[in-house]
Amino acid sequence: MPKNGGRRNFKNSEHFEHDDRMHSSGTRRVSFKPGTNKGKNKWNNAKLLLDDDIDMTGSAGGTHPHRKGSFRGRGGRLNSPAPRSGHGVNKKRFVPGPLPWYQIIIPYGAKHEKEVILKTLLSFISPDIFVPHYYKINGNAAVFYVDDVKLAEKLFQADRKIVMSDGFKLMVIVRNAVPSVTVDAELKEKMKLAMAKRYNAVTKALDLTKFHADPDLADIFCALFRPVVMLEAINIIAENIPDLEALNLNDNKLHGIEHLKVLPNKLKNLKILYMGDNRIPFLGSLEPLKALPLVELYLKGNPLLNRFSDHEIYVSDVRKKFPKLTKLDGVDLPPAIGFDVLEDVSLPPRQQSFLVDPAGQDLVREFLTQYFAIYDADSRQPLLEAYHEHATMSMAASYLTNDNRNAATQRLNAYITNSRNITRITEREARRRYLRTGRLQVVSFLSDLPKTTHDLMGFAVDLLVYTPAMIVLTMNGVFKETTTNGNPMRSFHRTFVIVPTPGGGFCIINDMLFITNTTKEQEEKAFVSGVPVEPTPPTPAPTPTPAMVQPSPDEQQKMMLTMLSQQTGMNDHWSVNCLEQTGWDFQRALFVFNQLNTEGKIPPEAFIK
Amino acid sequence: MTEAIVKNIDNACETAEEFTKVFYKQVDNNRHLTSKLYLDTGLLVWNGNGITGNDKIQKFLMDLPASNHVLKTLDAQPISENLVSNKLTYLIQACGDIFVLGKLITIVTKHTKIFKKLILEVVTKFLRSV
Repeated sequence: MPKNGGRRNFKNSEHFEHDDRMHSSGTRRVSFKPGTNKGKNKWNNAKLLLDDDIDMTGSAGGTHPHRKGSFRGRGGRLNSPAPRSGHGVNKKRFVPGPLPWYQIIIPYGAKHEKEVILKTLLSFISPDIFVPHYYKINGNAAVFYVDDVKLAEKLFQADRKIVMSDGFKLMVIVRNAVPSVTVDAELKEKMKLAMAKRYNAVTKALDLTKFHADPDLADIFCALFRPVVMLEAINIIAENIPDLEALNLNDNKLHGIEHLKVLPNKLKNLKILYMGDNRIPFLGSLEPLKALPLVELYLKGNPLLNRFSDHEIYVSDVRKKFPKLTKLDGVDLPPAIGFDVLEDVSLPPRQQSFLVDPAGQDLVREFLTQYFAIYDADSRQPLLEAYHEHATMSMAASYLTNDNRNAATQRLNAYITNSRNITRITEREARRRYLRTGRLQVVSFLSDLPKTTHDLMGFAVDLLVYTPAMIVLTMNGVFKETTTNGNPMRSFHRTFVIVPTPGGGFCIINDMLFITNTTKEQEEKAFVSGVPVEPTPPTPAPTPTPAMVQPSPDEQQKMMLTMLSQQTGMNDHWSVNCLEQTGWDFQRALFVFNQLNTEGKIPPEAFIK
Repeated sequence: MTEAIVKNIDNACETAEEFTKVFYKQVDNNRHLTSKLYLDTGLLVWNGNGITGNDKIQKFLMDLPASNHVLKTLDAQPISENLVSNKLTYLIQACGDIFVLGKLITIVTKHTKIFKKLILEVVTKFLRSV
């Protein structure tokens, strides 16, 4: 019976799997399944069914090797028919597989002690030494793994060379296969500990180089090239260090990395990725990582590099995938011709000035020219006329951020000590004190500031509010301190709220000044548009301007006309009438208009423009 | 100075602190809601570019790259009520740095605001990069 059994199997060996599938005979299948996963193991289990007979088949053992041979041929090498024809052991050839791990199956190995088998094999391949990983009994076979191709070959050669104590030759089947691993809570915990040990919190970097060789994980096959393990590792990272910036996966035998597509979602800050000395076959394999904002990538030691004969093409192709890359394989990359620039371009161009109402242009120009002529003169006293009786003025100053220049001229002491920066000055009392109130206080404060020359031509002026009752004006520019050592330049920003005076002129009611150092760019551009404009010679003691800015009569009348027309809605003709009758006194004209309008004495045609 | 004026000065400063906190938080983190801080007819001047009207301001802001504002100085003054139809109005000047695309731009901004029904509304906002 055993012979029959054996013979039957032998005869059918060529079609063994085929038969198995074709018949799909219920009993066989069911009995084959437990503890096995491949057709070849089914065969082993088929033998199991005959277990009782095995000992009696002593001489019949000879049939087994043949079967073994054909089996090995199918299982070990994917499609090598050679072993089948080769009855002699020596004629069989070992063909390395694509995976770094080999499964060693010792049929009937369960009969012997683990030590006996290992000792026997070790002495056979001596002086080489192999480390059996994950030794276990599967059915009646002993199964373990080696992670070296040379050792796998040596063991392959040991097949049926050793006669064991029971008189049987020891069969050794070598398959290119990786140990199976199940991710459970225990493994997860072990991985977590091993990873914590490898994490650098300062640089937010996790080093998982050769993770499977971690001494803390020696008893489990915890290799990152297994997707289940890798995904678990990624989950652990995402849960514990979601802000990870650098990840080192060097030397992990990574092959397919399709499952890493979860990385960009889980680790949004990952900028540095090392995947050197792995088995990534194609550059296209990196596609799943494309969404990572990588600035540094290491790929050396992967087969994908061999596919490029031209290194430049390799670099360029990698950068196409990761446009933000600045470093590849440890080499700094030249600046990319990227499209980031487009984002820059989307900033609207800077305009020299904005006028909410073009009608205000002349007034603004004239006002500023006159104001700074006096401000830049030796005495600022005449500015008294430029300020409203209840004017308020304040100044804030601060240094530029990241300014490394450390010259004495960079010091802003003259301003900082009087700076009303309310982020620093928090006391109400002090906030009130630093606000200069009334024209006397204002001008005396301004008189104490360093003497200056302003680059009027370089001013960026914006007219924000232009109504008869109020004008809001901001200016931004550069001035030079004329009496300070080194004549340093400063950058300033200033806002005036200007109101009309009863006399037809204008004065400042709010003045807000900010001062900081100039940037290099500002200094290069400053005062280049000709000599600083000094329209009125800065006489030592100019006769006080009766009211700031007395525009020429025409100019002034035009201004008032526009304002009145705007405010009342009357057309030009009626506005002129109104102004003429009130002697070009704007406030009176407005008053008269209001009075007549409420009395309904202004005809509708006055509002038709 | 009358007590009312003094109170108003204090108020201007405290409003400025509160306002800039809200304003820059919106611009940096909730840009799409920023225009709610402007009057319907509000004006935004950005480096000499003037934008009028709540809707247009919103669109303009959305087209700017993402930013991060760091306030360095802040100053505020009340504007005389006679000038602004008795509405409480403050002049606020904020200076600091904007980080746009990782680059630093030093800026000065100014706000004129009207306090109405306890809702802050910006009449004009002004920005000049230095």
